[in-house]
Amino acid sequence: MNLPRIVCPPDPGLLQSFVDRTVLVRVPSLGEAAAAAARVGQSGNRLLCVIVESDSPLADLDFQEDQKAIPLAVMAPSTGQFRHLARQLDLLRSFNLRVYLPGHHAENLVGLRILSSVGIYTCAVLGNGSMDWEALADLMTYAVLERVPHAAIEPFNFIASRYDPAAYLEWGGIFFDDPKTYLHLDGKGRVALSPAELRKKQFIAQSIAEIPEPAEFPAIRERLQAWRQYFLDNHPCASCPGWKICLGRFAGDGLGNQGCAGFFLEMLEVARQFKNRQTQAEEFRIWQP
Amino acid sequence: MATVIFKPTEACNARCIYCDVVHKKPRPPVIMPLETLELFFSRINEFLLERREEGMEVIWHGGEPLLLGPDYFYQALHFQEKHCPETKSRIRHSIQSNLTRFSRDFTEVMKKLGITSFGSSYDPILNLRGLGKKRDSQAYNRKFMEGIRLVEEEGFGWGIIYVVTKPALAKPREIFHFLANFSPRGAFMFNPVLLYDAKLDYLKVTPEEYTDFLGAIFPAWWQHREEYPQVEPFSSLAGNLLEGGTSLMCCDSGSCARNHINVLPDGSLSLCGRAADWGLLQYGSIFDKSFAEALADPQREVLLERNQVLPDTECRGCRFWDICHGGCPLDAWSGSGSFLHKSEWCHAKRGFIEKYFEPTVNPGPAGGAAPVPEPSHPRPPSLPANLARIGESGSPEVPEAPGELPWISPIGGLGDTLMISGVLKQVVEKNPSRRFNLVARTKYRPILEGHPAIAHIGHPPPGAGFVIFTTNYWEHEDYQRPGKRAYQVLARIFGLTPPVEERLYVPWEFQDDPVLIKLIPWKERNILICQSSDSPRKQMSLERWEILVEMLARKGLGVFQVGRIKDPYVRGAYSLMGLTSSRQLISLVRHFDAVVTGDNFLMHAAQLCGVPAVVLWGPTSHRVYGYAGQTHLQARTECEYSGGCIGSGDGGHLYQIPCPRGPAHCLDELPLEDIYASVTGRLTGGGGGS
Amino acid sequence: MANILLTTKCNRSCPYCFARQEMSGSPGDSLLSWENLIYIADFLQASGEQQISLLGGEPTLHPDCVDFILYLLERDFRVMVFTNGALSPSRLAEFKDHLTEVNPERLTFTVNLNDPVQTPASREEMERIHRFLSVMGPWAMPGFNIYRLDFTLDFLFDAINRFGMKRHVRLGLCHPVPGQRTGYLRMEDLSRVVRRIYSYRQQFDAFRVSPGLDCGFPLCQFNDEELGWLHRHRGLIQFGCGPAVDISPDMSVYYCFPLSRYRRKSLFEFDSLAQIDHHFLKIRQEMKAEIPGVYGECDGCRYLEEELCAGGGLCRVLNRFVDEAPIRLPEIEHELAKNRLSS
Repeated sequence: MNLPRIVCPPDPGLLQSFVDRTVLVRVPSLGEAAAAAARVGQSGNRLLCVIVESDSPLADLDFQEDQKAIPLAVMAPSTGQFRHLARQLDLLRSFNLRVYLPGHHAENLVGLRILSSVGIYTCAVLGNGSMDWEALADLMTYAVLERVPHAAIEPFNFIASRYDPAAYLEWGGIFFDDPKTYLHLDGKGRVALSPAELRKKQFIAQSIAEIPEPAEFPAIRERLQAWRQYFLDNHPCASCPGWKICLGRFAGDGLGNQGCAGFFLEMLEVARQFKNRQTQAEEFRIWQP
Repeated sequence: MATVIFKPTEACNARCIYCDVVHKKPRPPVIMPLETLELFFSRINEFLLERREEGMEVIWHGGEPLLLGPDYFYQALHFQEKHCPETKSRIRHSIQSNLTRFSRDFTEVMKKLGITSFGSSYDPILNLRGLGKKRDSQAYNRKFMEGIRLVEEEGFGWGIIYVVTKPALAKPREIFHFLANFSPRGAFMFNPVLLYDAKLDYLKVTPEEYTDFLGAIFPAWWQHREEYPQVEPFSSLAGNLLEGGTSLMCCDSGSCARNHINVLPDGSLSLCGRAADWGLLQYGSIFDKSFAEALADPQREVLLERNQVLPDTECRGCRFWDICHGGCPLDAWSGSGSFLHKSEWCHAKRGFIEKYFEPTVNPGPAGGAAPVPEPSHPRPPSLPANLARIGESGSPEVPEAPGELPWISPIGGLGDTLMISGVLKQVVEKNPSRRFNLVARTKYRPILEGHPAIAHIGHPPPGAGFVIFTTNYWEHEDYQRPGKRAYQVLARIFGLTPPVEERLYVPWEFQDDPVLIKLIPWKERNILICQSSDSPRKQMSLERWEILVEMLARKGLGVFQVGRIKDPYVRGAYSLMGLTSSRQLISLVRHFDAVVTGDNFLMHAAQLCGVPAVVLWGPTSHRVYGYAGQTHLQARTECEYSGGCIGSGDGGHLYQIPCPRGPAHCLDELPLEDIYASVTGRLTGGGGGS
Repeated sequence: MANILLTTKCNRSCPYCFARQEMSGSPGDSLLSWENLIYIADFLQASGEQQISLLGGEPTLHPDCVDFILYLLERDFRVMVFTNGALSPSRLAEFKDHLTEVNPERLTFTVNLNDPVQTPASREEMERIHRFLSVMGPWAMPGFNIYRLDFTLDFLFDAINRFGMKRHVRLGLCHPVPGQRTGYLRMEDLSRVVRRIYSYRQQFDAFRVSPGLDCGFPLCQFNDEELGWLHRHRGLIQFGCGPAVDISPDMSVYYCFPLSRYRRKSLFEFDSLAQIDHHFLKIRQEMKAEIPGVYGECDGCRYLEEELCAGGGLCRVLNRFVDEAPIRLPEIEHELAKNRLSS
């Protein structure tokens, strides 16, 4: 197992407590992104991106030319009005940016589609509330199958392109929710397995130094094997045709989250169509010298 | 390849409810002694040295073979190395285990024995499989899950046999998806539970129930079979039935008599595990028999005889014999006490194939037949059912609402219009006060406006107090009768008594376009041609027209083409296409010495104007449409094409569809020399004829 | 080009309204959603379309009208908005804030103006229209629907000059709506309409305003002098009849407003605009197989055959079928009966 990437605040002391790691730093506002990125560079670690956890709608953020070089993950509560966003679109398209919106708000599913259609890369953050599965399926179909050029909407494009019938697909890493790939540190360096557990202060270690071998670390190991419990429990998710691309992510209270099965079945179908398109494109390609 | 079901122990840590082995007192010894194990490998070597082309598959079975511990397997490996130096490459090991006792200590020896995968069993339904006397399912499942994890981490594959019991029948799809989710890289197999203890009847499934269980799953597997693991019996059936494969389970192979041996811990030999459990088909012991001798045991004759008997008795004519061979002979014995019958599970297999497999794989005409494409513009627009169809009834009596003239709904081509006009002229000649209204419809007004029988052209008002004549004579019952001509059918529709004289008529003076007439580069003798028709089946190919035009031009004749503006041009002809209205076209015909055309408006127009015509007939018949005095070159009206043609009377839906015979289209078989000779003949005063 | 109906609501009640039937048949709060707008934009872009018209009802009543316009511009469409111009002050403020920086070549408002004398509006409505034109004049051109023979055009020239509008007038004929007893101009009166338009030649020429003829004008109703004059202003003139391809908020697609109940389908049933055109072409062929055009002379007319003229509007052809016995092609009669259009 490769060492997980570290998601933490841009605290200089904290950043210097480890070296040669791939790091994502969390900041509460766009204005702090540049300084945070610089601190990672100074710490001897590699910056993957700056996560901006904004309370303001995307349209209300003040993007500046000098932020272009910073890889950004902007987590906003909503898109905001298009009329305000329109003025910044040219600039946004030149950014190294992915916009994250909570997927359980209906208006955000529309916002994600709008942003994608005008060339902004986005991600729906799923699993933090009850979902409108039908609307999500519409968005997913649009994201993967719409032929008119548009920017990717994750996690759908990820799932469609990585789907392998002979394997399970873990895609929480798209929004940093996969302990195999991301570990989350608070300001004191305490380690949580996911953003949600970080918010709830559910830590597995007091510092990253306690986890020299993540693959052997009990809490991580247990989490990565947690899917087996669905089969032991004979949980409805274990018999769901969409299991391989869901892994019980929406199991909720143990009875399965109503609607998710239909969504993931449709997602599978879309993934198959996506693969078929790729295969056909390959077949019809002319010979190469 | 000979197959040894090798049971070095019958002990098991599990108490699966349907297992025959654990329900009887284990036969001593519980574990095969090492000297017996050594002899076993020595016997293998002896067999393989005798049969240098053969291999031997050793299936480690039990009981639970992992209870033997890694050292026992190392001993086996040692004995193989010791006794089989020349033959070990032809020995293939596999293993059937519940995996609850797997540990990393087994990894090395398993790999050295060449084992890459474990066959196992699992059931999410509780209390069917379990550890210890209490049959603890949850403990079993936890240990199994841990075993699976280790097996995967150590680089082994694994597959599952799922035993279908009564409780499983309620949720076939759930079980299928459970297993498919559980082993995305593996394989699994459904087997019906086989129970011989009456106390367990509540778990039994009938062959029909098993059929329906598989049938509920099969469509889901079939739809995305390339994504699912190998699932039996589906994969084998698909391979065997659709791709001509020959992959058969032991129970279907019909060859167990030739190559199966079961070895128990005490070294005793029998056909298979079930035979040993039931005390049947015992062949002695490895202490006194070689494998070759066991395979030649006279008791096996009855199984070979079975292969001869069944095709002439219970399996006579069965199309699935090659993939079934009457099923497991032990099943037959358990049902009837004789091996010479087919398995009672025959119904399950055959039923599944016929009820579920074949309808899913090959939906047949109801589900799979491509719909016949609708013609884009069907020729005969039928009258809505709520209006009277006088034209079809053949009744000469025309009921007429007081104060309301009957309406004519004109349907058909422009040529038909000239016939209608001629018939109506005869109607008013016979009854000068007779009048009709004409439904306004594209292309009829220019021909029929001013006709003495037409009082008004327009839109019939709503209401049922009047009658509408439709001119779709091809739907009239008379049309199908031999010898009936289109003109005569129309005459009957309008109340005339056939036969009538077939006169065409237009109610207006001929109207030449003087400028056009002046500009046309007339030659001494001029021919007017028309290649087009509403139906592509009534057209001779353009290439042949061009050859004909060249032949006529070489003779010094002027050749002029008429038609609609977008009709295909016949190279070599002087194009007048799209330059005339329908009235002007009729008038233009009079200026030509002869007409060469298919069954179309120009044929009728030439008749109207008294211009000699050579008419090329294909699917339609000159006997129905052609006029006396014209030269008719008929290809043939009967077509051997199975889909029929427009001339057959039922071909309305084919009218717009080109002939499927391509270059063999009937009109293209007309000899051009004949056409040419007919034209030149008409120019020199030759008469008409067929 | 496709017309997208943003809403079925309207804040005006014009006597000639040919959309009334369609509007009255829709829920009052029927609004186009963002999802459907994006779907339509993708659909049209994939079909190679570069221009979109926004209609209603009154499209500016849609709460996201400004955002929709900006979005479509962002998607590289040229946008034409058909409006009555009677915007509320708050909506006009939105327009001023967000649309006045748009290149007028990419955004046009066709403001449907009524004759202030013949079709008088309330004072408030007139004030709203004037305020709209005073803000958006350079992006606007007047449209005028002709529903009576004594129409006047003077007020249009005045508006163009007073508010700096684009120097073009869209002139539309009021057509019958099959199955509805709405007022419309009779075909035999169309030559008088043409004469009257031509009588304003001096104003058109003096103010350099080009006349644009909407659908359903038959070529034969113009003399060569009138045609020459039109040609000098507009180049090639179409005497066609759609299909307009109207897409309603519920994603229905139909030939045009008057034919909104005839062979209506869902946009989701099509993969491209070409497929929709094919569908409508089939409808037109069916009808033309029954009646070639609105005049008896259309039968055999070379201009109709050469597709230089559509023989008047298809809505007029269908209107004939509505008032007669069910004698036409089964496909036509079935549709008429289904939509209670047959008599």
